[in-house]
Amino acid sequence: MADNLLTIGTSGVLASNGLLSTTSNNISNLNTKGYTRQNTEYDSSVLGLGVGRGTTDRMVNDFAMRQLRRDTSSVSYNKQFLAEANRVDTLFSNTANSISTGITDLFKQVQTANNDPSNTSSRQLVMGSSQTLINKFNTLSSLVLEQRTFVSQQLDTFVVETNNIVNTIASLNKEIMAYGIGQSTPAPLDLLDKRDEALRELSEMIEIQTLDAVNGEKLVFLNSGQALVMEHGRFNMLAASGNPDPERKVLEMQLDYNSNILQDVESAGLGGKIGGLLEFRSQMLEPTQNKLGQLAIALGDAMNTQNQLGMDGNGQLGKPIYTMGTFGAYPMRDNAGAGRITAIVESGKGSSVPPNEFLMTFTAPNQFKMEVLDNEGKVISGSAITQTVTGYPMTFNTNNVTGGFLYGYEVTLDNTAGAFGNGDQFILKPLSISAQTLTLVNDRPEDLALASPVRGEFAINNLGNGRFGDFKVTNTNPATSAFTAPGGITGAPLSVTYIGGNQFEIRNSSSTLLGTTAAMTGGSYTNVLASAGLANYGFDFTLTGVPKTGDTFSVAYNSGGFKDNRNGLIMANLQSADLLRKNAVSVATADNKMSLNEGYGNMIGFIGEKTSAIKLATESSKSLLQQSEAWYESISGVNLDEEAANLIRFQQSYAAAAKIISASQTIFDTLLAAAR
Amino acid sequence: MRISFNQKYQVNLNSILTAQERLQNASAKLEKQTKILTPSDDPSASARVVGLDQQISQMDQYQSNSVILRNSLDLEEAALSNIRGTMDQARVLTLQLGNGAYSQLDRSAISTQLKNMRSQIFDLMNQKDADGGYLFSGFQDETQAYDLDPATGKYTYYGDEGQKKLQISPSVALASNDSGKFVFEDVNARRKTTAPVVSGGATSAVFNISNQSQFDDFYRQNYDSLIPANNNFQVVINGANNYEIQRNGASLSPAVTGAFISGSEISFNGLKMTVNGAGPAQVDFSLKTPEKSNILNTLTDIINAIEVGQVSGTALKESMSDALAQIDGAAVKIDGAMSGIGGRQNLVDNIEGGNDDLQISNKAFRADLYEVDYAEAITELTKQETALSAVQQTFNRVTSTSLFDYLR
Repeated sequence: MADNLLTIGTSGVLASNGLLSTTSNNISNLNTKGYTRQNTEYDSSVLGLGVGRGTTDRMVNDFAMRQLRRDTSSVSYNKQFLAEANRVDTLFSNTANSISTGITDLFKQVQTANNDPSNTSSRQLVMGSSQTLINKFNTLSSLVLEQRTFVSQQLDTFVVETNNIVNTIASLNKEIMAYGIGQSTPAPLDLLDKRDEALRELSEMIEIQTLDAVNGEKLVFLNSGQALVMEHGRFNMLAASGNPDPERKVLEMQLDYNSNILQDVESAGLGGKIGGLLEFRSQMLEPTQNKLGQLAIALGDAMNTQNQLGMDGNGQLGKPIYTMGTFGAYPMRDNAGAGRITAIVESGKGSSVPPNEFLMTFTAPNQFKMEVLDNEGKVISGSAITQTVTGYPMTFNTNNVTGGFLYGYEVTLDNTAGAFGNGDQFILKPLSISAQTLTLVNDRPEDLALASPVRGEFAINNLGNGRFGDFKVTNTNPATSAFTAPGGITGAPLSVTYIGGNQFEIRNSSSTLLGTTAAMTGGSYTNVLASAGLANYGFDFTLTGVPKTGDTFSVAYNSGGFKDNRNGLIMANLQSADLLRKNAVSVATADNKMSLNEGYGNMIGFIGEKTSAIKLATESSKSLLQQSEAWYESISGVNLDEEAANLIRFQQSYAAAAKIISASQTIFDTLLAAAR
Repeated sequence: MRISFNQKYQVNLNSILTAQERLQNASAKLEKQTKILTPSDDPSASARVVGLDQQISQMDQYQSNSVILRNSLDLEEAALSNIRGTMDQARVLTLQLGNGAYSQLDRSAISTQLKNMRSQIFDLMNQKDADGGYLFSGFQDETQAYDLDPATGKYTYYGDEGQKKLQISPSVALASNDSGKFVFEDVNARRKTTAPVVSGGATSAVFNISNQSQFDDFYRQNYDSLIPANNNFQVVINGANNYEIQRNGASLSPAVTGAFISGSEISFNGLKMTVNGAGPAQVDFSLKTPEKSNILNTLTDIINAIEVGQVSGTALKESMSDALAQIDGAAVKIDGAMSGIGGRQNLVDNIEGGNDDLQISNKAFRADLYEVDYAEAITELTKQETALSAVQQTFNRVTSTSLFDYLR
């Protein structure tokens, strides 16, 4: 009986001891990351002999944990996206860098130069503000490019971190498995805590799904179903590499049994920091860069084209003032052939350039296909243009492409480095660097072509009052028009004679008859040259008034006409002209063009709206996370007041159990004293 | 719900951080004086502001172009009105030449004054504008508009027809100058016939234009520059003393005929023909080829007639008629140019006024979208400050309670 008491008392003391140590453990580990509250429970022993076996369990709810992980991923995704987006947002809020003010300044200077075209200093100001605008383009573009490099570097860092965590989980899995699940072995509580904490850290980087294996392991999968941690401690690793552009890294998965095999990982459903980073790049950074590049190309090409239709300060036909450089296409890593593709913006076609990248595919023996890619990197249906290659090096532009349309580019295929292989693919993304490669050819103020290259005069002795109306210049290329380099017109001065019956004769300087117009409606004779069959002269004009038979008019090159600003007026109106293409693929009747300023405004609106959406998403996911955390903490968090109360309770039960022992000792002493 | 230890701190800390962020935001808006710190604060307003900025800047440019245009037009108007005044004086002097009492010396004196006026007009025609280029040379602003050609002795126009336009609104570009070719050069010389040539029984013929405007009409409708022979007219007098006026040997339709009386006038479209003699006879005359004569050449002609030719009588009358008709023609042209300038000045004023109104409303719209309302912003700032201090006090209260404080 006494030894019963002793046994019971001892078991009680031991039990209280255990309870006290659990409570103390809870209090001490208050600030340990990932610690879950532990609870010890005792069974009563058989035959009424005190307290039996005790088990210590973690107070954890698997559902709460999963919800917490999911919300952690969501918040990390949004926070990462927002952090990057804020940088772009702030970049474009700075009016000093604003492209819009730069463009407005440029056209303001063109207007001022128009007011006094022969003044060299106002021309110099135009070139000066051109250079300032180019600098703004370059700065903005290189800041955006820097962010892209930063994204790639961040990706590298995140991938290394993620791989470390995956490694940790796998090795923890192995250790936990080694412990086994049995009645005799106590569960490795701190290992389980560590593993859960590692899973939570992993969910910050990437959104994960977990599956419990029979042997106590936790298997980890990506949202797409690809496995990260598998059974028996095996795991796959993530890798970042660029294909085809080495600067633009994407996520891939290395399989554990053969590290040379790389699987693609979709970035769209990734979640977590890595997902936020990659989605920011493809949904916000790259479209912004493409739109910026498109602005640069449209402005440069439009100014070049208009300048070439005029006469510059030296009396010569205008030349291009901006260059945009040559763009190379990136070959895919697994291309069989060694052929190369390059592209330039086709002169005069800058307004056909869409804000997208392109996929070029070569199919043996001689088929070349160009398709437009959207923001996610997928081909837009209906955008393919296929051509047949007839010889190398082959250049395609609007002159030899069926349909006369190649998205504003002139593409050259070159096989000097090696032939093209069947199925070779290339990515062409000129807009990613066009805002940086835009440069001034030179900054001489005389190169600005403000004057028109033709002028007309009526013979002073004409009887009638026919006068020249507007001149339209459409083409000054010496190869395809009547203009000659450096500045002249073939057969000039041309003489236009009214022969009655609303008809005119056109003769050249040696009086050879060049053409006779059809009978035109009187009062206003439009497109006189076209009517005379001379439509390819590159310019045309209108005659107004009532000429008398025999009246002559002469058309000549505008030598010495330095006060002329007709071309400059058209150039200044480019500010409101529709120079930008909105969509790569659209129907013929759609409104698919917009002005430079509208395009810039759209870009600002796009950036603002995306950032604002992410701000809202961040707020809402943060409050969701707070809810999940509250639920999780309410189950697994340590409450000091509770532990304090427990300390008192278990102290008292310990004291009471100790009293049982001393009571049994007293009984035994009494027994011994009785038996003497 | 059970609150854990960490939860307590975390929740309160979050509140403080949020309150601080809001305070920061409110003070930034006040400091930068804008509602839109970054495009994400109001994406559609940001895009709108970009468009408005361009419109405002363009409008400013148009307004300054209007000022420049008005200056140019005023300058040209002053030059033309001076020329016009001088022309009036020249006309008065030319009329005085007809005074029968004047001798060659008197007429020489008048011709000296005419020379001075010619120099004055020459100077004004070669006026320079504000940029230092010649005002009336069209596009050739480095070439002097008028100069004396020593080979022909005539004042020739060396510029071209160009008109420089200034953009004063998105769709209106007005010419800021007029070319000398239109204003000065395009003046018709007096329409005349060639000297009549008699043959047959006619002894002499004198032609006189009594009604210049009627003759001008006839000339304009009948002068044929493609077939020169169509400009030859003949007065054919037959033996029965009937005359018929023929053109290039063919009768006119309707035919012009009449009885011929030697010495009396035959009237034909403002032309009075006095033929002496008897039929059969023929008088040939042609329409003179059309010419233009600017005011400088007109004055030169009359000056030469007086000084070199020393004309008097009929020849003087002929020269005077030429000069007067041409001075009138030149004056009409200048009047036309000046009214054109006046019209353009009115248009500039109207457009400038309209642009001013548009500019005000654009700026008001932009301020609405972009600028901060001070009352609202300061209220917000005060509110956030109060919120922050309230949360900080709450933190203190909530986290300082613990059971351990009360255990022995």
